Amino acid sequence: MGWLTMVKKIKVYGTRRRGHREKHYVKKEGKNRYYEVRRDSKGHFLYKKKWNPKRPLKAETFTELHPLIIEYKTGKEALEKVAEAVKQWEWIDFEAES
Amino acid sequence: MAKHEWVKEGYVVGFMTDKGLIIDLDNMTYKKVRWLARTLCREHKLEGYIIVRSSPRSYHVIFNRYLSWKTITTVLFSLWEAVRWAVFQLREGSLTLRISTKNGKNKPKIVFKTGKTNKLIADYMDVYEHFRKL
Repeated sequence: MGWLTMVKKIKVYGTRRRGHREKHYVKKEGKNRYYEVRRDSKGHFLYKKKWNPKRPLKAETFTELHPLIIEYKTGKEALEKVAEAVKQWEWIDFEAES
Repeated sequence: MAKHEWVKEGYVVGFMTDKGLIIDLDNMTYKKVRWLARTLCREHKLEGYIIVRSSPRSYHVIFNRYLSWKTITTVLFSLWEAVRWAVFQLREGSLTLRISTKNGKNKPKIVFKTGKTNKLIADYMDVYEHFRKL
């Protein structure tokens, strides 16, 4: 691969959490059957599993500490990709001792 | 020695490379940074460099020439001023410098530019210019 055509990388780092935009709900099917349904921020189906009222429904949120690595070829493309990737996550502010 | 600072607010964007030499120099005067950059540029024929001020007494240096990973590690570990930063960067397999704001600090500003700027410096300037308003 030549120097001019090589893929360049940009790093976006911070404490991030995903799942806050997802839809997570219980759906009733039939008389006594309840299902837990999870959809992403665009409304696309992720999974469905049996739900029991004894087990409370909890949003699928998790915290990620590793940086996002975004590949790009031009600066404009990098800006667009970063703006898109950043929206997918909730960036958490916190107090910490450095 | 300057302490490591966690990202406490939002996110930070960093320029990442494993194809050339970039150095983060903390707690150092501008005069010393410029002397170091000039010496490295002359000794390793790095073609040119830019000095960027990230915060008072903290500077980034970006050299123009593309280098192999082996050469990058050799040069980095020849400098005691950059060893601590280099160890953390090399664990990740690439070198990263911040190009956006961080914890209320301003974006890095270019303070000095010399020599050729058509290789790694051009890559850095490309993202630096585009992320100026972020």
